[in-house]
This record gives sequence, C-alpha cells and structure tokens, in this order.
Amino acid sequence: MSGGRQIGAIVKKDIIAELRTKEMVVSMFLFVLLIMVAFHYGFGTTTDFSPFAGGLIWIAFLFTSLLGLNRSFVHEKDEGCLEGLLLSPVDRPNIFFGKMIGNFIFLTIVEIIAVPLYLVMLNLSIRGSVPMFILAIVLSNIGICVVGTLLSTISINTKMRDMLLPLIYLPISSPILICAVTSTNGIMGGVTGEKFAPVISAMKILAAYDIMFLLVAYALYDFVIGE
Amino acid sequence: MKDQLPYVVGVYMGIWVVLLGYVFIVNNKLSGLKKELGALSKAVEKKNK
Amino acid sequence: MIMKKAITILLGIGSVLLLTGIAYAFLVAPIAVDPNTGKEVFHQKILYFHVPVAETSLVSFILAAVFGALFLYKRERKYDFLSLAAVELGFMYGLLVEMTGMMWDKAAWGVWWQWEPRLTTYLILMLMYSGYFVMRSSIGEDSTKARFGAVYAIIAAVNVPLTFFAIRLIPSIHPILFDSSGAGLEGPLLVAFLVSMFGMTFFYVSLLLTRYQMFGVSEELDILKNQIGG
Repeated sequence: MSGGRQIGAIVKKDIIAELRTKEMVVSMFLFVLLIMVAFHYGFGTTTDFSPFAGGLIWIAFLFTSLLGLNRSFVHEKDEGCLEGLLLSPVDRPNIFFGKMIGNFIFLTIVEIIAVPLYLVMLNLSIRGSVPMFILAIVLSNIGICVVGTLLSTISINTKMRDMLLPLIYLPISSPILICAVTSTNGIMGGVTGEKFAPVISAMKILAAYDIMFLLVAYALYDFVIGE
Repeated sequence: MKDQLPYVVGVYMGIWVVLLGYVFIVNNKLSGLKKELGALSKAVEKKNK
Repeated sequence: MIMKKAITILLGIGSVLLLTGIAYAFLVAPIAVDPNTGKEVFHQKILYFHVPVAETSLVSFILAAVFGALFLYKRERKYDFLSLAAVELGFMYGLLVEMTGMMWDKAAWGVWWQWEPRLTTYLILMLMYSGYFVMRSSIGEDSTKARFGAVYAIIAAVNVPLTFFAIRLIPSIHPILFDSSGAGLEGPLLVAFLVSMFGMTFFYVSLLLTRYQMFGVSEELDILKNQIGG
C-alpha cells in the first residue's frame, strides 16, 4: 500500500469506530457546552465578553482537545489495537499522520458546532474577516493535533497514562494558545491598520509551529511509538 | 540605591548558596556512591573466590 | 581520575572568574545610568549574574536536546546520562533566573511579578521541563525512559524559540528602564559581564561532568547489586 492509502485506511478506521459509538464527538461537544456555562457563572454578571472572546474560545477548545486526544490512544491501547497496527506493514510516521488527521476531523466537527453556539450565547460577533478567522482556527487546530497526537503517544506508554498528558501538553502548546488568542481576538474585534500587525505575526508563528512540529513528529515518531 | 541594595545582595548571596549547595550535595552523594561501590565490589570478589 | 581532576580544575577556574566578575562589577564598573531619566540604577548590578545564568540555562536545554538526538542515533547510555544531567542543570539554572528576575522586578518596579516577557518565557520553560521529570519518573523501564526522555528534550527545545516569539506578541505594560539584554554594555561594564559569563560557563561544565559521573557510578552500582541478588 502506498503512504497515502495507509493514512487513509487508518483515518477511515477511526471514523467508522466513531460513527458506531459517537462517544468522542458527543462527549467533546458536551464538554464545550459545560465550559461555556462555567464561564457564564465564573464571570459573574458580566454580559460583555467581547474583550476576551478569543481567550474564552481557546481555553474551551484546548481543554476539549485534551479530552479527545486522551481517548484516541487509550482506546487503541486497551483493546490491543496498537499492537495490531504496529504488526501490520504500515510505516510508523503514517500511523502518526492517520491518527493526527482523525483527531483533526473530530476536533473540527466539534468546533463547527461550538463556534456559532459560543457566538450566539455569549453575545459575540466577528467584526473582522470571517475567512481569516477560519484560517486562524485551522492553523491552531493543526498545531493542537500534531503536538497532541505526538504527546499522547508518549503519555499512553507511561504508568500515569492519561494523567500525564495535560502536564506535558499544556506547556508545550502554550505558543498555540498565545497566538490563537491574539489572532482571534484581533479578528473578532475587527482591528485594522497598525493594530493588525500582531494578528499577522501570530498567524505566522502558528504556521511555523505547525511546520516545525510536523517535521519533528515525522522524524521522531519511530522512537515514540515503541520498537 | 539604598532601597535596592537588599535585592542586589539577595541575588548574589542566593545564587552562591544555590550553586555551592548543589556542588556540595552532588559531591557528597557521589562520594557516598563510590564508597558503596567499593564495598560491594570487594564483597563480590570475596564471593567469587 | 582524569575526569575528577578536570572537574576540580573547571570548578576552580569558574569560581575564580565569577568572583573576579563580582569584584569588578561592584568595585570597578560604574553604577549604570538610565539613559531616559538620567538616574543611577543600582539594581542593574543584578545583570552580571542574571544574564549569564539565563544564557547558561538556555545552552543547557539545547545541549540536552543535542545529547538526546545523539542517544536516539547511537543508542549509548552515556548520552542519556548527559541529556538528563543537562535538563536537571538547566532546570536549576532556570529557577535561579526566575529568582533573580523577580528580585530585579521588585527592585526596579516594586512588584515581584509582572508578566515580563522573558520571565514569563522562563516560567513556561520551567513548567515544560517539570513535565520531563514527571514523565521520566512514571516510566518503569530504563530504555523507555531514555528514549522518551530524548524525544521530549528535543520537542521542548524546539518549543523554546516558539514560546519566546509568541510571548513577545503581547505588548508589555511596563517601559523598558534598562536594556537588560546586555546590548547597551560598554567598557568596564562589558568586561565585568563577560568575565561572569565565562566563569558561569566553566562552572556549568564542571557541574555537568560531576552529575554525569554520578550517573555512571550509580549505574555500575546497580549492575553489581543485580549480580549479588541474582
């Protein structure tokens, strides 16, 4: 099988498993909603969330992604699927890309439903360009899934298992959080001219982050997944 | 200058305490390990004889 | 035995240079003057220790990643020991950076912590490398420990510049009173700084070698213990 078809097969397997149980997308979605309610009570009587709109959205998505990332490998490990995958003649980096694309799809589905809900229920609006907003979200999602898949493979092979993932994932994903918040805040606030420069550089850093970690993951995944 | 002096002194003292403390602890542990290693290797030699 | 001699000599040179640096900073170098207000800034003396410590810790994290890569490539235990020793020392130096940085903030602006970009970067680095130790301690096998340790050291080192640039995006609330990057140093101030810098490097190499030696000895000890037990 060629590399593309190997990746496709793994993605397809994940999607079929998800369609049967629907547990990952549903629980991630409920989690996002619960965080939204928590925000409402956490900020007391505040009704104007627009100054920290990006912060709210990305805190919610980052923690939601943790939920999905943990699941994606706990599943494989518990059912003994990981051994099966390793025994099959699939290149190790392709396992990574397959799992990463699967995580990316699930996270994106949750976000497609959750972003409009957040906009409506927290009275937010996108004053800047919508395509830029989507680009910022996609770039951040790629980063989250690349680093998350890489680190969840590490954490699943330790004794602490899913307890370890937040401890190593949150600090390493901090550039994503900073850049995603900066860019989405700028776009949602509709800033123009000189104030738009940080938004552009945040997006550039996000792109650099994605590329760097894709390369790192490609080079190191052989060593991570076990020999 | 006067109100900044305690902080500057604090920094220099603090760093020396930490660095020298580290050197002391590591060397102490190292010599302890070496002693244990010597004793054990003697015991192993005896056992082999 | 050569190792032991080298460690002692390096430690000696490092200490002498560091002490010279301090003496030079306090006795010879004039008190720095803030170019904006014309006032003397005595707390700038912290710089002669703060910046060498910070740079040593960054070098240490990069070394950890390099040794990690070497371990993955050559599979020799000694590279894992070196990588672990470098992370440990980088972490200790990082804590010193935080401490001195907070002292600087307090002396300059009257608050202990104000989310200054460089110090915030260090805070995130510290959290990142705490994860390294937690991860290592939650793995049973030595070979897996070394493998994941090496991978994580590389990931974390790649993340260092990204974090630094990302944090720079958020505008700092406070004006820069004195260019603490050391770029504005001239004459005696520069001499004091460079002497401290070299001193810290020698000191660091000596500590790294000591820690490395310690891992070697404790590994030998484990092997012997296993022989007796088995």
